[in-house]
Amino acid sequence: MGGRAAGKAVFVLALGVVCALVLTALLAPWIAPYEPQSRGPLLLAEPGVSHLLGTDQQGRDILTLLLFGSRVALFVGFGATLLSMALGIPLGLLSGYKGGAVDALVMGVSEVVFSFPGILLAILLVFITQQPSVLNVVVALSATGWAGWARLVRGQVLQERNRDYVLMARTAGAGTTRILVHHILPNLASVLLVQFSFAVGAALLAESSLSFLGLGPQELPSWGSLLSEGAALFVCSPWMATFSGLAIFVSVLSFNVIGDRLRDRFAQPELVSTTDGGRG
Amino acid sequence: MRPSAGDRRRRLLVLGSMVFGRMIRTALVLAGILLLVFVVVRAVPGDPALSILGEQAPADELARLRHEMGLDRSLLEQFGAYAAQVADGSLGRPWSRRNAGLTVSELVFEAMPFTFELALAAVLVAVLIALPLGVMCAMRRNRPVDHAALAVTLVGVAMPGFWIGPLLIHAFCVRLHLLPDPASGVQGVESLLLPAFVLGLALSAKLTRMVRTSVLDVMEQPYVLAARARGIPESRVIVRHVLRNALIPVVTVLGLQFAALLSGAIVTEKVFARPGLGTLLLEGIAVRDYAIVQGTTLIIGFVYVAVNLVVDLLYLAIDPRLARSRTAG
Repeated sequence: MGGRAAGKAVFVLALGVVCALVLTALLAPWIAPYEPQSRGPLLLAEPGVSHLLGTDQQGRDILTLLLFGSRVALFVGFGATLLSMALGIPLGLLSGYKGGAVDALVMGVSEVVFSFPGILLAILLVFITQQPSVLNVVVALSATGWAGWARLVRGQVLQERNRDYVLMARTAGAGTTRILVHHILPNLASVLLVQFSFAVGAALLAESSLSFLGLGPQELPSWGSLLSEGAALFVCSPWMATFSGLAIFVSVLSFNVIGDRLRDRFAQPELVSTTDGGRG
Repeated sequence: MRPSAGDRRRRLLVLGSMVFGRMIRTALVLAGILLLVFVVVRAVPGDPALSILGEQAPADELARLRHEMGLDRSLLEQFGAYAAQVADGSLGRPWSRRNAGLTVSELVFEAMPFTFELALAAVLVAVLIALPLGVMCAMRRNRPVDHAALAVTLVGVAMPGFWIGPLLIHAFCVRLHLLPDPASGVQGVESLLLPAFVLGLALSAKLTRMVRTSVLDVMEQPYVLAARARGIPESRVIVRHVLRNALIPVVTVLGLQFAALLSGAIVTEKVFARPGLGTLLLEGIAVRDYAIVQGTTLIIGFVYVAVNLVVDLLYLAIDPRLARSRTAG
């Protein structure tokens, strides 16, 4: 019982972290102590009263940068996941339900996309667009992310399509779209919810990885680029790297904890965290 | 009952056709990768020559570079030239290192051993952590130890390598001087330890869960019960009866993960300033050398597919039930 209670407490904590993150991202301009670009006289200052988490090499307040960085992290995390879902779910539904040539084509293309492990294809796409922006990163991650959703949904549809409720709907004269959208899709809700949680964490980590490699959004402070700058200065000032890494870690962990708990709840052992996508 | 000669022949035929089918699929995927990389690199709007030389470059120089890179030809011609470069194995000439006289494939094959070495070492680290941990979790299922280990795996997956990497470098190389500083450029086993650990950590987390599930599955099989009933000691049951069977799916996943590690290596190589495919790719990106970027991406994709194929075929060889199920069906 103790383990279960602890598990629930961790889940609630993770949910709290995610809510706090969303609030932080929304309210960053109002709660940040400084302007993100304002440079003070103190360079690489240690955490103190005027700068709670210290300053970077340009005298910018690290806490402010992290607060604003949550906007990029969440925008990319949610944006890339939602766009991947918008592309992948319809393709997966059609592929699983129709079979035949549609299935072969969708699965073939997704297999090619899967042949670029992790963030490789996203790196290539961001490189080609020449100006890494938040939107480009979202598009690049979705261009690879849809394939996972399509495969997941296809597999589920294959299981569902011969169930009685589908056969009955078909007998009652329901069309393909109606069966897919009104009958099959609602039954996939729990699977999709679990995967959504893992996917947001994975996209967030992927964005951080891209930013760390210098391929993330350039116009806004992001946790990955702060970590990259901080890592170079680690010996003289470990604060920037430590705090920005902590922000990434806690956020990704929270999304994964939520996904893990939901998966246990809905008993879907086949779903796994896809966090390796952005993993270094 | 021994299978008859006819049975065996039929099974061999099915196995052969499965292998053939798998080869055809692999060839199609390789063609797909080839096309996708070309489409992404060449057909996306934007002028590579302009991005290499900059906005201020004189028009004649731009035109010369465009001609040199073949950008003034039609897309179809460009694809033909690119396919020819892949076919002859050169993958083109790197624009940024024109004077060195090397082809992209020479650069890739020079970098590859470093990345392979890192990925292999990472797999080793992951196995060394995951195997004992996974078995322990399965044996102590739903006890505090199991919960704690599973919680640790969640933490391991979420920990970005580019965060713990610098932390470990600082602790072991700068403070404690136990390992050579990556910045010093020392090569050797010691310099591989930290990168392999960082890269292997996330994999070990996933693998632990896999080993646990797989061992739990096998432990419920009748032959394990039978072994226990015969009075065989538990440790022997685990090693001889459970692990041998539980590891088959784990090995498959490991094979696939090895290929996936190649992309994780990009970040790890940057953190530890190691040479390798990732470093080559990032160098190519920094100087906007399209041939290097294209070639490296293509090779990582090809390696992934090749490892996939080998694992699938091995799996077929290890587990004859796959072929048998086809004959039955």
